[in-house]
Amino acid sequence: MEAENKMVIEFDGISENEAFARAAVAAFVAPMDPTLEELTEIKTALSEAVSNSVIHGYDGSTGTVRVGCSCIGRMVELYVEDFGKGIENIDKAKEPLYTSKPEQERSGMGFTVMEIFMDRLTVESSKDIGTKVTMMKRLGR
Amino acid sequence: MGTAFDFAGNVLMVKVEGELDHHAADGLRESVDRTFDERGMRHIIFDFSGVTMMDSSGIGFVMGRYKKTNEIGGRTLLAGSNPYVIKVLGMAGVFSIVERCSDVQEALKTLGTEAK
Repeated sequence: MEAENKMVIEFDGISENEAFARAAVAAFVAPMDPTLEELTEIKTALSEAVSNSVIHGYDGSTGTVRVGCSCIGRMVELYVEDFGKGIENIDKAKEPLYTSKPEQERSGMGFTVMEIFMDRLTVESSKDIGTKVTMMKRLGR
Repeated sequence: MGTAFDFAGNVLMVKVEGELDHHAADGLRESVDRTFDERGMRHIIFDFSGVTMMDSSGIGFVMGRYKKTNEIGGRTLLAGSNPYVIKVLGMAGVFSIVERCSDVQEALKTLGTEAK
């Protein structure tokens, strides 16, 4: 049987906690001995999802962000969940360069970065209930 | 994240170190714009060689500074950055408008007589 390990953390959805989430997940996956490239890609994808929850999910209001990570063999599964306003049109949100907040210098590249750096991306969202982004990446070696 | 400013005539040089995320980008935007305006600068050279991680907030940040310099006839250049930074910026086509140089000296040379 493949080795299995999982964790869940919850924190306030404020931008200060983006670095905390990255550090926590990086420490959790460290025993799997990812390459620096793999680790940077996971941290970057996570950063995008957490920023989305802070910027779009809560949009100035406060709420909780939940990050879960599980490692099964060489597979890392990561999810970021918020209980904010949700995404009305997921396909539109995933389009490269599309942003609902151009005035804030948002690039609209968040989901594109997640898709490129991870092997799989799933987005579930309901209006005024929240959004859950799940990502998977298989580590080499 | 750490930031250091340096000046050469009308060129603002900004060295950024550490992780550039949404939180860091907001603070950086404010300090770069304030310094740029107060000193009456025209061009910006970013040195991202010390940036260890950058998410798409960095794209918006660099594009925003490009617009700011472009509006007054100035240029924004990127000097030195690691492969991750290049990959993220490249995804959005940033290098079609922001020139990439190997280091700050080369960026200053690229500006040539525009820097004074």
